[in-house]
Amino acid sequence: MENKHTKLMLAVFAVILMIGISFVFGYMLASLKEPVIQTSLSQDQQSLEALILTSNLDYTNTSLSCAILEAGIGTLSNNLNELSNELNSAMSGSVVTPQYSQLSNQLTYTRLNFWVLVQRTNEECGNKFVNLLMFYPGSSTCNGCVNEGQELAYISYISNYTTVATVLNAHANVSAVSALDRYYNVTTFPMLVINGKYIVKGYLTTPQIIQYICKYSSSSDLCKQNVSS
Amino acid sequence: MMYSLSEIAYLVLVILILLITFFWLMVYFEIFNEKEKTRKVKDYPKIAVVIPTLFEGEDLKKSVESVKKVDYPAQKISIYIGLNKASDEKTRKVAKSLESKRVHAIDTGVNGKASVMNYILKNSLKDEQFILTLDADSMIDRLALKRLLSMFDDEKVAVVTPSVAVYRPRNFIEKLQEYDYIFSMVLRKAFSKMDALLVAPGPGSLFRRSTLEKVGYFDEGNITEDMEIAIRLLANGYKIRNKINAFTYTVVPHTTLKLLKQRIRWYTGFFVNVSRYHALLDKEKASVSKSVILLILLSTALSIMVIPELAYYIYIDISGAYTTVTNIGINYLISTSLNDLYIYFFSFNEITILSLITLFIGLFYLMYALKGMKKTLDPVRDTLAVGLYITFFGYLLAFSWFYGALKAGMLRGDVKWRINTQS
Repeated sequence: MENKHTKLMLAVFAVILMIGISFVFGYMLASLKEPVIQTSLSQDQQSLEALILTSNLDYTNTSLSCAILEAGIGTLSNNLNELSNELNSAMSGSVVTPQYSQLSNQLTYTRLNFWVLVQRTNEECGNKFVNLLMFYPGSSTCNGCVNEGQELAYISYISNYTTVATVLNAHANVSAVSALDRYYNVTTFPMLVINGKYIVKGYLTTPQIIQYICKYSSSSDLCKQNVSS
Repeated sequence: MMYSLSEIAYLVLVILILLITFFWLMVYFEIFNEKEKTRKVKDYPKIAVVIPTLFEGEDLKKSVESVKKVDYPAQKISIYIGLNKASDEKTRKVAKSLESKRVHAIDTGVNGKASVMNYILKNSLKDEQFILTLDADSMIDRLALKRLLSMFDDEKVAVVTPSVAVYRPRNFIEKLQEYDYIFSMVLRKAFSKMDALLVAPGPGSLFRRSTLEKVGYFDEGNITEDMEIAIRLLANGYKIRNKINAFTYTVVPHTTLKLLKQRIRWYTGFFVNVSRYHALLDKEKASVSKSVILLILLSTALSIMVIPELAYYIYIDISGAYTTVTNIGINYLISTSLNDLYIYFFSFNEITILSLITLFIGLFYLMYALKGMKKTLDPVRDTLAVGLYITFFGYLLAFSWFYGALKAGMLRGDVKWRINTQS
């Protein structure tokens, strides 16, 4: 009997050791991932600042500044989406998340500034983009939020990034997000805002999203082409 | 960021699997590194070999021939072939053709394996002190009998069980079972070391006759009489030993369906017997380790949990893919799959590491058992076989345990042998 207990105690000790090793390596991995995400975020922030600067400068040639903005916004939209996916993956299913919440807030703030930039570009350059803003809940479950996020990424892709989507955690600890929550009265999820004015609540399939885009922004390239659903 | 409920459940499952694997791994280290206490066989007691038959036909010859070749004085062994009431003509003819001074073919006139064995034990035996049970489609190794006898070093030892191996595996299903039987050999040895071996398999278990008579022979209404007798012996304070290098060989099911039926029968029998005898096992005189039985039941529960766990993850993946395909299109699913692999690096965390450690320890556990039994390993063949065993056999076993538990629960122990007429 003693032999069995010794073995059981040794097994418990071995399991505790393995859990310890997993957490130590998990922490080391998280420490490796964090600078990778931080570097990407810094690069995106620099790109965004460059675009904001472009939009602020009083160019004699407005069409040139609009062309620069159009090209930059498409690329940055894609980069920010990927970065958001990377950060969400790094944060999910782990208690070892050093600095991640700070990075998450920075990214949210950057995405918000990006959305504002697209709004301004539309005003100055004549509605070149369909500007989509989607809210999802950070602290509760949401049926369809992940799928709708994927659909928005797909719509951006097939529109050759003339449709840009910004996905925001409505519960992010960022004061500007709280202000937007109040402004749009964000209570149900997912919630989609088209071009800053039109609000659609609840989950939408890809054809439904395209239908709404065409309803509120009929000049979009998406409305001219046949999209397979 | 805290864990979600499903992540906590997964983590608990992984930790329990790791704990159980480490525990049995330590028992395995002892099995393969310690010299076993045995008794040298000086006097040769008389042994009755009881072979119950049904429809085995020509296979019966191999079984009897294997007994005739064992390294043991021939005059000390008597072979009793028990013909079932339902035995076919072919099997009867083979049995009669094998009759000699040492081989007796007995028409018992009863149905059921346990009934046939009991008939012989009560009516046909002479002055034999030990009883070797042998299925009619099984063979005994030449050196097995002496090795089994060497383990009767204590009056409390009621039965010594052999290592049952697969006889000439041919197709894929039989070859996978070959590995399953090897892993079972080590596991049964481990169970016996922990006083928790709950089966005395039909192919080659050696019983002390006086003990078998005292506890009242085999249970004739039980679908797994080899488990029932083992549990009853333990409940009555007797010991069950295992001799890992005493081999017997058995013919195994050659189709998945037959294999599934066999396993469901075994595991239904296990649950029926454990539930029937759990009160007896709690008795003061019972020589069974209840904590280890609990560990075995926990291992079983964990293997059963693999099914809903797996089904849940498959459902999540398939429903996600289905939604993407129906809402967006298959092209998007394919194009994002590569990107998902890159994103996977970012989701690699402490739970992933612990899962990989558990997988590695689990593989080591299986390979260590394999190396212990086969002595040499073929790195390619054996690794591939173990991989296939885990992916294919693991789920088949989990399903069989699950279905067996369900059936035992539904039938509330009312599970009896049924003899189907031969097709």
